[in-house]
Amino acid sequence: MARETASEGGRHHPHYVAVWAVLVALLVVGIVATTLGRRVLGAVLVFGVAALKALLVAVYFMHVGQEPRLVRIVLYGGLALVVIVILGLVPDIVYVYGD
Amino acid sequence: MAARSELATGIPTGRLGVWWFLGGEIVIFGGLVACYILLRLHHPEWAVEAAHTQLAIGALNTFVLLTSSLTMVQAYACVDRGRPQRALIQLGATAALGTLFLAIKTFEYRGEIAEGYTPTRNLFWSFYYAMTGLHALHVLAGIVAILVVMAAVRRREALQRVEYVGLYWHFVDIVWIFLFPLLYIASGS
Repeated sequence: MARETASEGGRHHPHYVAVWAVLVALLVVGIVATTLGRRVLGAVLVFGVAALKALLVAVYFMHVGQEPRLVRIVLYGGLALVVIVILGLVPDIVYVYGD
Repeated sequence: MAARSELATGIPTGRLGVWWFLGGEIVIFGGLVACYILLRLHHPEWAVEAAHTQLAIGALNTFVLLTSSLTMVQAYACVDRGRPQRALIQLGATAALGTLFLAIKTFEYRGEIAEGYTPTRNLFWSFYYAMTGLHALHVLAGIVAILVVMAAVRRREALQRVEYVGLYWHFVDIVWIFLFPLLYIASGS
C-alpha cells in the first residue's frame, strides 16, 4: 500500500476560509436577489450567483485549474453530453409533451 | 507504490479515475436538471407548487454543505502538509456536517409529505423528490466513503484517498448549489 503518500499533486493551497466566506456571502446575495421584485433580473442574479459559487468550488476546492488538460477534457465531455441531451429533449418536451 | 502509479497522462491513476466518474455524474445530474428546466419553462404554474418549498431550510442546508466543503478541503490540506491526525478531525467534521444535512432534509421531507406534497402529487414534486433524493443518496455514499478513508488515514495508509473523496464531496456540493435555486429560490423570482 501507499504508506505516507500524501501529496501527489503538490497543490497550492489558497486561504480556504476566505473562499468559504465569499461562498456564504454569495448565498446571501442569491437569496436577497429574490426580493428585488424584478422577475428577469432576479432570475439572472440568482442563477449567475449559483454559477459563480460552483466555479469557486471547482477552482479553489477541487483545484481544477491545477489539473492537466485531460481532466478538463473529461469534464467538458460530460457537459457536451448534457448539451446533446438538451438538444434531443427540446423537440419532445416543448413541442410534443408541452402541448 | 501502486497507488502512485501514473500513466502517460501525467496524473495519478486513482485521481484520473475519480475525474472520469465525476464526468459520468455530470451527465446524470445534468440530464435530470436539463429536463426539469425545459419542463419548468413550459409550465409557469409550477411556481405555485415551488412556493411550498421551505426556502429557510434549503438555505440552511446550503450553508451546511458549503461548510462541509471547507472542512473537506482543509482535511486534504492537512494531509498535503503531513498532518494526518488533524486531517482526521476535519474528515470527521465533514461526515458530521453531511449527516446534519441528511437530518435536516429528512425533517423537511417529513413536513412536506405530512402536508400532502408527495412524489405523486404532480410532476413538479416528482422532480423535486427525484433530484433531492438522488442528491441525498450521493451525500450518504459520500459519508460512507469518508468513514472508509478515515479508517485508512488512521493507519497512515493511502492518504491520497483524502483528495479523491474530497473531489467527490465537492462535486456533490456543486450539484446542491444548482438544485437550491432551481427548487427553492426560483419560486420567488
